[in-house]
Parts: sequence; C-alpha cells; structure tokens
Amino acid sequence: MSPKKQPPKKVNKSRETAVLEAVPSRKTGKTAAPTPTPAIRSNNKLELTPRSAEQMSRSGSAASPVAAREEGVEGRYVYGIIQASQPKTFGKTGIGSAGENVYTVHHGDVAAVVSKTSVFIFDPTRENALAHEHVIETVMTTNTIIPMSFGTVFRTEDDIKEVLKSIYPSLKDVLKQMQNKLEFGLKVTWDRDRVIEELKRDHEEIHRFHQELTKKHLQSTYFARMQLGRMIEKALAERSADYVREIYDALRATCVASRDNKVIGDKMIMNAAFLINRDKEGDFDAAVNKVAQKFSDRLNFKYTGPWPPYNFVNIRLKLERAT
Amino acid sequence: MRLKTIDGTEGGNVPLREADAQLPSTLRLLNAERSYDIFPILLEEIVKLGFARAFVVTADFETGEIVPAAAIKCSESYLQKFRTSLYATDNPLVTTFHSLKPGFVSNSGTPGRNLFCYPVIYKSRNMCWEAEQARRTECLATANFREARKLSLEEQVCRTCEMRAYASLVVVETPKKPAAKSILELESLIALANRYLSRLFKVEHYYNRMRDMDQTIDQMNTVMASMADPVILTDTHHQVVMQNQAAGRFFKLPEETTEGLVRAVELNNMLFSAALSSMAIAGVETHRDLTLVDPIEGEELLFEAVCVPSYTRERLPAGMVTVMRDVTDLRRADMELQANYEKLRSAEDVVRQDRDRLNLIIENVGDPIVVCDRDAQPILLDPLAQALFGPEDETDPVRVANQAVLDAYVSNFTYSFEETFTQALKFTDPTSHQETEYDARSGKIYDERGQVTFTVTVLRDWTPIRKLEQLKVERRMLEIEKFASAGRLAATIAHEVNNPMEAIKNSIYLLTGKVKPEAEPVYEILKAETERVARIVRQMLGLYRNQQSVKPVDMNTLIEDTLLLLQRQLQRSNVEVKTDYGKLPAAVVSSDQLHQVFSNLIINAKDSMANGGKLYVRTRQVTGSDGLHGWIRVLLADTGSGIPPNIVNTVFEPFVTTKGEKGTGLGLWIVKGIIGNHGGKISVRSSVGKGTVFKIDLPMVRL
Repeated sequence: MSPKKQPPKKVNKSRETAVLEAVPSRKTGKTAAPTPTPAIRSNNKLELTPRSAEQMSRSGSAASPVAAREEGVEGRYVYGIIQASQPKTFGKTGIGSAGENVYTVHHGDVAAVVSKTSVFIFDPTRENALAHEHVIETVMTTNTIIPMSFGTVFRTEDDIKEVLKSIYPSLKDVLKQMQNKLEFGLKVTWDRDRVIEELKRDHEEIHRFHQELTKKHLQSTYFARMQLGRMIEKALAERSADYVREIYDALRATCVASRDNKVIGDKMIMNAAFLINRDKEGDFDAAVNKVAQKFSDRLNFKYTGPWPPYNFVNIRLKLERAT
Repeated sequence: MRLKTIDGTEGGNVPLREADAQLPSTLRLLNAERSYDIFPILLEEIVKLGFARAFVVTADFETGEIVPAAAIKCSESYLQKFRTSLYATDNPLVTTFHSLKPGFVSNSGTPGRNLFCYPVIYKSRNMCWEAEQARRTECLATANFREARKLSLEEQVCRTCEMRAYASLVVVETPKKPAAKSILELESLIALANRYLSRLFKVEHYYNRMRDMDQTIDQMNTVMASMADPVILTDTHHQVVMQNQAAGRFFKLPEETTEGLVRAVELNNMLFSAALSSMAIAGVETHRDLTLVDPIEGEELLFEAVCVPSYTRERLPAGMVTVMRDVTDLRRADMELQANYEKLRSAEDVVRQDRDRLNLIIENVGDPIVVCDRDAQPILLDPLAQALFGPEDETDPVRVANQAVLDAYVSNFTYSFEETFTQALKFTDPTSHQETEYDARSGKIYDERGQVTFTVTVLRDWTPIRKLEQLKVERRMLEIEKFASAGRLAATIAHEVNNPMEAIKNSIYLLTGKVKPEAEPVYEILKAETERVARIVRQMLGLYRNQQSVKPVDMNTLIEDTLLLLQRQLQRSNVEVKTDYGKLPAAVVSSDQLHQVFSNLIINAKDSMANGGKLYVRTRQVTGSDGLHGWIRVLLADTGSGIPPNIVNTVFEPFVTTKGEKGTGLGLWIVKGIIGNHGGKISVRSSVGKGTVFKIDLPMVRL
C-alpha cells in the first residue's frame, strides 16, 4: 500500500483471499458496472457482517431440535430464493465436502436454490461460510436472490415447497423489491485519540475546562477529570452523530435504502449497508468517493461490495418439523 | 617536621604551625579542633618522647579490615605489613586490638624491636544526650568508660543512638626492653589523647546529628508545603504554632491585602477556633465538617477537619494537630449524584407511567400493533398482533405466512427513506383461517444520528367500519323509501280529498250573503278553516308532483319572479329586500317546485318579521374541491324573531311550526323534500331575536 493516504480505502472483491488490493478502478469481474477511478472496494471474505453472524447464531439455535447428524438421511441445504419457473443448476459447489450439485426446488415461479446434505447443523467455519457465500454469489450474477442465512436445512423437498407455498406472496413481494438491487457495505472509523486531542484544542468548553484543570496546582482533580471525561464523551457522540448524519445525507440520493448496523469496536462510528439500483452503482461509487474525500483527513472509509442483499431481506424460513 | 598521612596528603585541615609544635603536648592536643587532628599530634608527641616510630591502625567495620590511619617515620612498605583483617585472630596485633588492653607484641619485621599496642575507643564519663533523653543506661560512651564488661570491636555501636564509634590501635615501636617509666609516660599520653579524641568525636557526632535533623526538618517542610490539605498545629491555648502553606492560604494574611481578604481570613480564623474548641472537648481523635471561605475566590469550601491531640514527651497535652480535607468536590459530586438519582427516579416514574399508559392504549386500541427494532425484528406485539404473528407455534403455516408478509413489509419500510408508510396487507386469522385485509400504517422513531431505531405499525381492520357504512346506507335508503311512500300516500289522500274540498268551497261560496247575521261568525270560521284544509291539501299535492319535467332555468330570474309575486305582501309588512345575485350557470330544476321553495321561505321570513325588517337574498356559484363539480348556492337571511334552539334541529320535520295555529308545519318539510329531490342540501342557522339564515346548495349540472 502506498503510504500516502488514498481517499477511500476500497478494495476489489476477490474470491479466495482477503488481500487488499491497491489497484484502482478494476473489479475482478463480479459486476459489469464501470467503477470510477480512485475507488476500490473490498470484500473481505474472512469478515462476516454482523448481520450474517447474527443470522448464523439465530438459525443455529432454530435448527437445534433437529438431530445434529443423522447418517444416511438426506436433507436440503437452502441458499436462497430466486424467481424461476424452469429447473436450473449452478454447478457442483454445494456446501459440505461432497461437492453436491446445486439445483432448484420450485413452487410456481419461485424456487429455492438447494443442495443435498447429510448434515443438519453446519458449524460456521470459514470453509462452510465461504461455500455458502460462493453459491449465493454465483446465483447472484444471473438472478435476483433472497439470500438465506447460513445453516438453513430442510428435511425434504416437500417441506421446502410447503414453505414456499405458504409465504409465496411475501417472496414475490421481496423479489420484486430486490430486483436489480445490490448491497454495499460502508464502515467508517476514526482515530478516537486524535479527535479527543482536537476537542481539547478546539472545543471551546472542553478547552477551557482542560486549561483550568491543568492549573489546579496540588488540588484534587478527580471530580473535574470525571466531568471532563463526560464532557468529552458527549462531544464525541455529538461529533460522530454529525459525521454520520452528513455521510448518510450525502449518499441518500443515490441509494434505495440504507441500514444502520451497530458499530463494532472503539474506533468505528458507522457501520452501514446500502441498497443500490444496479444502474446507479457508478453514481453511488462517486458519492462515496466524494464524501470520503471530504473527510479524508479525519475519517477512514472502508467500502465493500457488491453483496447479496443480506441486510435488506428479513424473511426467515422456518424449519418444518416433519413427524 | 611535616606530618604525613599514609596516602601522602597533608594530614588535617589545620596545618600545624611551628609555634604549636613548641607547646607542651597537653596544650597541643587541646588546641586540636577536629578529631582527625588528634592522631598526627599524638604521633609527633610520641616521637618527642623518644620512640623511633609509631603509627595508628583503625578498624574499618565496612570492609572488616584493619587499615593504617596515621603514621610517623614509617615507610609505605613498612606500614603495609600491618594491613590485615579484623578477624585474623592469629595475628597478635589483632588479638591485642580485640582484647582492648595495651600490650607488647614482638615485631616480626624489625628484629630486636617490640611493638607497644594501645587500643583507643570512644569513652566518656557522661552519657550522650540521646541516652539521657531516652532515660537509658546503655550508652556506648559510658559503657566503654566503665569497662564493666569488655565490648568486642564489633559492638562499638551505641545501642541507644545507633552511632558507630571509632576503634583504633596506636602502635609504637619500642626497644626490646623499654624503660617502665617511658612506657607509663607513653600510656598516659595516649589516654589523654583519647580523652580529647572522644570529646571531639562527641561534638562531631552532635554536629552530624544536627545536620541530619535539619535535613529532616527541610524534608518535612517540603512535604507539608506540598500537601493540598491544610495542616495546623495549635497549642493548648488554640494558638497556631505551625501551619502549612495550604492552611496559610485560609488563615494567614498575606503582605498585600484587601478588605475582603481580611474579612475572609478573620472569618476563617473565627470558624476554625470555634470548631477547634468543640473538638478539643472531645479530647480524642474527632472528625467535623467545617465550612471555610476561599479568601481569593470568595467561594465557600467544605472541609472535613480531623483533629488529633498532641502530647509532650512527658505525655502532657501539647495542643492539637488539625488536618483538613477539602470535600467540596465530594459534596458537589454527592449533590450531583443525588440530583441525578432524583432525576433518574422521576424519569423512571414518567417512563413507567408512560409505559403503563401506552400499554393500556395498546391493549385497548383494538387494532394489532407491532413495534420493531432497527433490524426490523418485532420487539413488541399487542395481544391482537400476538394472535396473528405470535411465536407460540413456530411451524403453524398460517403464522409463518403472516410473519413473512409482516417481515417483508417492515423491512421494506425500515430501510426505506419514507417517514411513514401505508399499505394494504392480507393476514389470515390462525384460529378462524379467515383472510382479512388490514390497512397497515407505519411510522418511524429516529435516534440522534438520524437513523431509525424503532418502527411502529398499526394494522387496522376495516371490516367492521365497512359494515357500519353499509348499514348506514341501507338505513338511509329505507328512510327515502318511507318518505316516498308517505309522499305517495299523502298525494293519494290529497287527491281524493281535493275533489270534495272543491265542492265544499263552492258550496260555501254559494252561501255567501245567505247566512243569518247571527250565524255570520260561524260561517266565517267555516270559510277560513275550509281554506286552511284546502291549502294543506294543495301543498301535499305540490310535494309529490315530481313527475313534472325539469329544464334549465336561471335561478336568479326564478328568485326575482317569486319576489315580484310576493312584492306587495312584503311591502305591506314593511320588509326591505336586498338582493345580491352572482353569475350563475343554468340550473336544471323543476321551476314550479323551486318557486314553491322560495315562496315558502320568503313567506316564513316575512312572518317572522312582524314589525318589518330586512330580507337578504344572495346567490353564488361554488366550485367543489375537485374542480369538476360545483354548487349553486342560495342564501336567504332575515332579521326576524328566529327559531328557538329547541326546535331548530327539527324544523324540516313535518308539523313543526313557529307560527302556532297559523302554520301547517309542513312548509319546511316540503322545502327539504323538494331540495332533496333535486339532489341538493338545505341547512339553517338561527339566533332567537336576531334572525335566520337558510342555505340551499343545488348541484350544478354541466350541459
């Protein structure tokens, strides 16, 4: 990486590795849309979005009543739902080590993308997570997919059809909403300590208080330091809220929807997902670059995608517990 | 003759003057002011006594060696021979040293010569100050002096003050058989020198002690000064003996002073004395709150004063030590804590009340309500929503389908940029399996980052309201039907009554002038009442005569015609008519019926103005909100007696009248019927004593 700070650290989505590439304006064939220059997106495969991690745990617990491993019994692992009337296959890339064929199970014009499995509960290992995402991404290149959370396993194809039938109108509704949409992630971090130093210098009230505190020769400063701490905490929250609001405002025009996920760690101030119309991808890239450029001296932007719309699809397929 | 120390430097700081050398030995030793001057003088005096050479070795307790300390007429190599360990007990020199008794040792280095060894240690008849202070008898000086028991060299440390004393050995080379007298002389000289040495050593010991104490005092002062807590030492009369810098800030007047400062310091002193007196009574360690004034800032500061009595060595009360801790911050923090706690409690109270109220509302709203978080996950379902989506049975296909519909809707709304959402959603009742269309209305709650934190969705089931609407329409239809049949009945009756009525009227007419004069009043009644019945019948007929064809007319002309017809009556009643005609499109109406409407209303107005008044007529075209439909509006206002409020709502019902026997009570009923038949509306506003306004709206018909 160049030591010189490039506005948004954007890295191409590369399939097998988490290597951050510094090559601008090139994508590794995931999407055909042109990307404006300094932008590089990353799609760090090692990193699970908090959403998918959450989904994993949720689906894990939902599936727990089913026997963990029933040898010889076949289940169906569901990757997602697409709109399709005719059977399709997506190669022998199914989850698990057997290289099962990935195919579709239909109800009318909606279909579940599945592969056979003898395992009912998958550990969220890197290998399994990659296999799950790999299938979804393959499907995504040609179809609009409602991605299922990791670890959704049904006993029989009839069970799947039953569920597809029962929630058919909702699936159609969501498929329509997700038509030609892509998801992008944007994480914004800051150097908290630097901002605190800045606040001590520039924030009128904090600056004054800090000066007074340093003048308190030999007197107890415990209370004052606590107060200062609270003041700084508050100012930090305000400042970060201001930044976040401004970033959202800057991107709103070019996206369809946004989702504000909880931040992770001390330095992150924004952890968002955006739903973009396929034809607006370039505009969105430009908007991200512009806002990243604007805050380049104080905020770090980590921009990833395109992803399947994990963050915008909330349909949970319930396991049918056949007797 | 110069005296040299071992290392060749000049011995002592005070050079021995030639004149001194001539003095008797006693005086020379007395002249020495420093302990280190004693040995050189002693050695010189020994040589003067006629001994060839002499030297002093001293015990170095740190290295455990015996090292030469001073010498006269001794070569370096000669002296080196006597360098040995303190523990070399086979060395006769060391043995003599340890015995602390003078004696002869054969000189192995110089045959034919003996060595006279005389150990010198710190001794004094009087005990040191420390031992005296501590009332102890274990003083090294006196112990050595008394020689009550032999102290070993290692024990040359005072048990009271831990001072390490000197221990040296004066060694004099003597002939093999020295004269006893010369040895006696030598012994007394060395003993004398040691007395002087002990005295000087004692002085120097005290001097060092003073220096150490000074240092300790300095350190204590630094500690006191750097203490932010005021510390004050007072005597038994509460007079300040000592105070640190922090205390001085409150209780001492600086050189440059102001009135306010003086007042503050005086106040502080007063407060402190009062506190001290009350604490002194307790006698033991006491704590007390004490408020002082900051002399610079003028602020009140809260201190916690801790007071400890101090005692002299004799355990007599010496005064008090008061340490004051500034607890202003603590108190402020405590107050803040208290305030926050109160705030929290009242906020909790408000929240609880709000929650209870909200729960009550939610429970009684009668519509399913769903609250979802930022992840579009339901976090609150009211009992009705619970029934639709509740998680009781995760595999119930109806609930799963309902949840899917809700999930799709809520996530679409949550992540969209819309502030509110309205959509029709179909849910199936899990028990009755009946599908119902709900009107979903959603709103958002935002956080300080402008991001969605919660969404609230209310599902309104319109079925009961639609049913109610249906019922209303049906009832209205029924009323119209009833009205129509009543009208038909009335018309039939009127028609049937009309013919005999005409005959009666004609008969009465024919009787005119043929009635006996006494029957004349009865005849008049008969005539008037018959007229009245005829009028009622006519009006009834007019109401139902709607078979008459409608055609476009100008409403303004129609009103003008009616007014013209009634002009004389109005003039007679002294009613002034004011008209304000707006530009109107043609109205498609039955002109006869409208004629009747206006004449009824105008006559009513005239009747209400027995003493005259004004009648205003205004027509306007009113455009509907959609811009397509419109109304022709006619306003008729009088300044008459008005309609009493108890009947104003019923004036359009049959047989309601303000005219008593004079009126039939059918006029306005008929008016309303006609307007209604034309698809119009009529309303009335009236104020008793002021007048009445009738407003008629007739639909505009585009031709």
